[in-house]
Amino acid sequence: MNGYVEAGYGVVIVALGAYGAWLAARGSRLRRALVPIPVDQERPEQPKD
Amino acid sequence: MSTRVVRRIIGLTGLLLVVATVVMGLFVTPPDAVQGNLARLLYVHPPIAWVAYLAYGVTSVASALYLWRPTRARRWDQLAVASAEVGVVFTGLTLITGSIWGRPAWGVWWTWDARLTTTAILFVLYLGYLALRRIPMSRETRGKRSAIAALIAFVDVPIVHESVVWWRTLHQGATVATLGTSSKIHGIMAWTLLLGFIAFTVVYLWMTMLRFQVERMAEQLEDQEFSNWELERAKEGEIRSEAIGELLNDGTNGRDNTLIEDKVR
Repeated sequence: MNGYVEAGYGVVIVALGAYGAWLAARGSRLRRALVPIPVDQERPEQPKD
Repeated sequence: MSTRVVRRIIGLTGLLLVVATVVMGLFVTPPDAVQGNLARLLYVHPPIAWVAYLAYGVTSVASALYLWRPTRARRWDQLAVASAEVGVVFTGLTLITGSIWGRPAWGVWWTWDARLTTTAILFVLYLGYLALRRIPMSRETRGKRSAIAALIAFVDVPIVHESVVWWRTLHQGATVATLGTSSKIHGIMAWTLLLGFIAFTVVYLWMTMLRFQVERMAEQLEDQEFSNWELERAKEGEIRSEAIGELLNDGTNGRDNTLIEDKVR
C-alpha cells in the first residue's frame, strides 16, 4: 500500500483504543471509590471480657 | 442480565466488527480503479463521520428532553454529555482521516473547503460545549445552559451534510446516501463500507454506555463527598454549641468573650 492508508487505519485504531481504555480505567477507579465500607468494619475491636 | 454484561457483549461485538472491517478493508477488497489503494481509507472515513452525526443527534434529543420540564431528569443530561464527548472523538478522527486521504488525493493536508471548514466548526462547537460543562455552577444551571448550547451547535450538522450540495466543493458529493438507488460503489466494496458503518456504530454504542456510566458514578461520588462534608460540618457545629453551652453554664454568663473564643477553639 502507500503508507497513508496504514497511517489512517492506525490513527483510528490507536485513538479509539486509547479512549476506550481511558474510559474503562476511569470507570473502574470510580467504581472502587464508590464501594461502601460496611459499618461493622469501621467499628474498633471491642475488648473481650 | 446486568447492564455491565450487556455493555461487555456490545464492546466485544464492536471490537470483532472493527477487526473484520480492517481485514476486509486492507486485505480482501480490491484496489479502486481510479484511486488505487487510497480508496481503502473510505471504509473508515464515512462511517466515522456518520457516527459523529449520530452522536450529536443523540446529544440534541437528550438535551431537548432535559430542557422540557415534564421529561427533565438527570439521566438526559448525563446521556447528552456522554454522547457529545464520544462525538468529539469521532469528529476529530473524521478530520484526521480526511486529512490523511486529502494529502495524496488533493496534494494538501488541509484546504478551506466548505465541507472541511463546516466540520472543523462542528468540532470546535462541541469542544466549546464540553468546556462549558466544566465551568463551576449548580448541576441544574449547567444542565440547562449546556442543553441550549448543544441544540444551537446541532444547527451545524445539516450544514455540514449539505455543504457539498450548497457550495462548489473539492470534497466529493453524496455517494453513500445514494446507495441502493444510483450507487457509485458496488459488490464487496459496498459490503465492506456497510460493515464499517455497523462496526463503528456498535463501538459508539459501547463508548456512550461506558461514558454515561462514568458520568453517573462521578455525580454519585460528588454527592457522597458533599454529604460527608455536610456531616463533618454538622459534627463540628455540635461540638461548638456544646462548648458554648458549657461556658454559658459555668457562671461567667458570656461576659468574658476571649475565654469563650479560647474554649470554642
